Amino acid sequence: MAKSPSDIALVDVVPPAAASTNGDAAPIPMPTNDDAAPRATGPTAAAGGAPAAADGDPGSATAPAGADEPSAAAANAGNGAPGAGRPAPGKRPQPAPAQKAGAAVLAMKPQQASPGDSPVHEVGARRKQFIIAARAGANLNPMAVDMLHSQLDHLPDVKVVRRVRPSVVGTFGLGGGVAGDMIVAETTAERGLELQATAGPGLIVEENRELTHLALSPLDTAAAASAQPVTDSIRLQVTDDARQPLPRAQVILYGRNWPAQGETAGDGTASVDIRGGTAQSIQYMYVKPFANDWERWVTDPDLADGSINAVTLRPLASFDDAGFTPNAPFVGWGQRQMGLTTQTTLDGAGARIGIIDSGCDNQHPALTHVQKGLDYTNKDQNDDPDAQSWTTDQLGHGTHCAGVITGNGQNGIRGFAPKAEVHVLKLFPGGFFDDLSRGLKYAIDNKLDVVNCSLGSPEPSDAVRQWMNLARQAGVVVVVAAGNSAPDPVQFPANAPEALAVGAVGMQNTFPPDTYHAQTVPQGTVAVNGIFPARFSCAGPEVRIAGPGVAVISSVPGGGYAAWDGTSMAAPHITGLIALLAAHHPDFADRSAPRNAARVDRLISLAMGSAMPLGLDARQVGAGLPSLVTAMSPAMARPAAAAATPGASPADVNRIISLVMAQLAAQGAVPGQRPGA
Amino acid sequence: MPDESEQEFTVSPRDVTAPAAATQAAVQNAVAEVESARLVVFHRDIGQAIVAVPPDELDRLKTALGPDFLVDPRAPLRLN
Repeated sequence: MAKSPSDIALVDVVPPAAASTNGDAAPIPMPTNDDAAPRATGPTAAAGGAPAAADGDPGSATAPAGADEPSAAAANAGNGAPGAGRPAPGKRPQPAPAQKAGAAVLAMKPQQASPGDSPVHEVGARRKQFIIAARAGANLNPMAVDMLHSQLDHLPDVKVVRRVRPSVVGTFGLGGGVAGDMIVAETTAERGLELQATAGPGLIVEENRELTHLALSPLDTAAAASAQPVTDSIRLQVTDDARQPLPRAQVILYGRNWPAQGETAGDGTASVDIRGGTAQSIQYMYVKPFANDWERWVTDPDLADGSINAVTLRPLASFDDAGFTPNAPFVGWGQRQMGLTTQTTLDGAGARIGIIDSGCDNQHPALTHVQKGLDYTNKDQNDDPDAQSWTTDQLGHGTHCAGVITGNGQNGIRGFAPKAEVHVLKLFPGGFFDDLSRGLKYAIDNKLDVVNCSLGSPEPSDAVRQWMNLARQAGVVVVVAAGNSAPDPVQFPANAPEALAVGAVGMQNTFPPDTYHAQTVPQGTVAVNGIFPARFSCAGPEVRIAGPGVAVISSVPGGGYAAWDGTSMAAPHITGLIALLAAHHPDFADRSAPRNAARVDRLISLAMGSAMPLGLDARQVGAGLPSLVTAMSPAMARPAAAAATPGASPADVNRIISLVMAQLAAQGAVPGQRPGA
Repeated sequence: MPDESEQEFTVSPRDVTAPAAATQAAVQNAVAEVESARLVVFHRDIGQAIVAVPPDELDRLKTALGPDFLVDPRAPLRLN
């Protein structure tokens, strides 16, 4: 329903209660980087991806689509700076015309960019209706309810919508109580919860929920949704905290049918068509910027028809616990947890790493040292991959992984191995199994120590398995993301025995609560030291280790940074660690030692043996989160020394502790705090 | 690109050390035997072929190739 101008005023956005880290969100498409769904890279909302990671990236099978195909905007912009399209400094957009009742408020606030003459409506959480009634048998009388009504009328933030009075016969027929006499009041979710908490045993305070019929409706099907006419069109403008418009932000609205998506233009605006339902039937709004700001997730967004719905994003640097500082060296939360600091003397010199992904923008200030690569999406008439175009990364995925692995840390992200020799093997968009086999062949031929495969498929391939086995025999560790499609099983090729499958974990307080990152916290999971398994991360016995995969801040094309989720982000942490071990661990000091399966097994054993026992389900996190400090410690003795000592090695002990802790956690016997508490 | 009636398959030798030239010749012979099949590309570096064939002709292609070859659907990969 359109609001009249007198209803419109800029208001502070209230973080949605349901978007907190309590993890009780309904099952919905999950924005991860799986199919590249809402990706900072600018792919249009595709099908199959992101927030399903969508991925599906949403990535996961549940993700909104759109992941693997770059949007036209992305293609046109190439690797342009994320700020492209912003007004020149000093030329802010003109403010919206002042509205009647809201004029005073508007005058007090920073001026909001407002394309055209449309009024501006700041999007926050929609107010909810609550029913307040006496519990049957409670010692309350109608006068008390009248008094309650009057009291509610005077509470700030609470508006009584209506009073439902039962028939006299019905009311008093219940034995003297006042059951049936109820007040319907509208307030914020937080205020409603507060009323619930303080109501006492005699009163019922509960959300007034919309009833639905249970008959299947053809209008609920995807096919019908796509054929449905547009029932509403939502206009939004995405700006940063300085009210500058943010182009190339993905906007996804989750309503009654498939998610509706849009991408902001140069003035930060996007128009998103809704098929089925209206603005008020939208359950979730997800806004993912191209770079440099936090994303935004709003449950029950208060969207207005006929207005420009303003969405304000906060810069990454505004959230201190994330540890990000623009134009300065920084180490991500995950790298810190794994023992990497900016002062480390371990830089990966001598190691060779492959990144099989979507390319790498080596114009990014943190990645200018990345100079080798091939593009298997761009082959000549002889089927040979192009040796230049790997530097164009339409999806941004490979650039993000590269930052974690090898960022130079000079004025941005410090990756694990900035001095390693990195080989970029571009397979996306459009990678197939045969491309992956070719990438593995390249890794073997070029004596790479480790290759990062932040990719997967629901289908297996014996041919790829063959090449993975050959890679292992040639001394190449193949690190593979487990997949973002939980509760589906671990994807291929992560589920192959030759792979080092990596699950994703997150850490409390490393992201703002009103982001989708907060939705990745599984309900009821015990976190140890703030670490939790990511809800989207595929689980199974194939998962051998965990890496940081929630709110990972890393490089994106154009020189910026973005916080992404996904097992794709977890795998590069393990790849970086393996590279450091290959370069600096004494077991591999002899460069002339044979490159074989034993070498691969030893590298994996060191990584797994160094893992902190998280007390979480080993099917989700494997041995746990590895520690560079532990892996490099004298306790992690050479296999020969360990073999000479009867009994278990330190790695064995760690693994046993991890399994025992997981068992205890499953039985609820491990003290810890609930994620998001 | 395969037309709507075709599906793409990867054809690889079970022995990945087999000479690429030998694999290429075997695949070409099989494709010649199955009229509806066509060789899309042969990757010399990995000795693997991409063959497009109508799904109902797949068994004929496998028969023509013999047991020394793996035939898998050419599935797309996804980023995670």
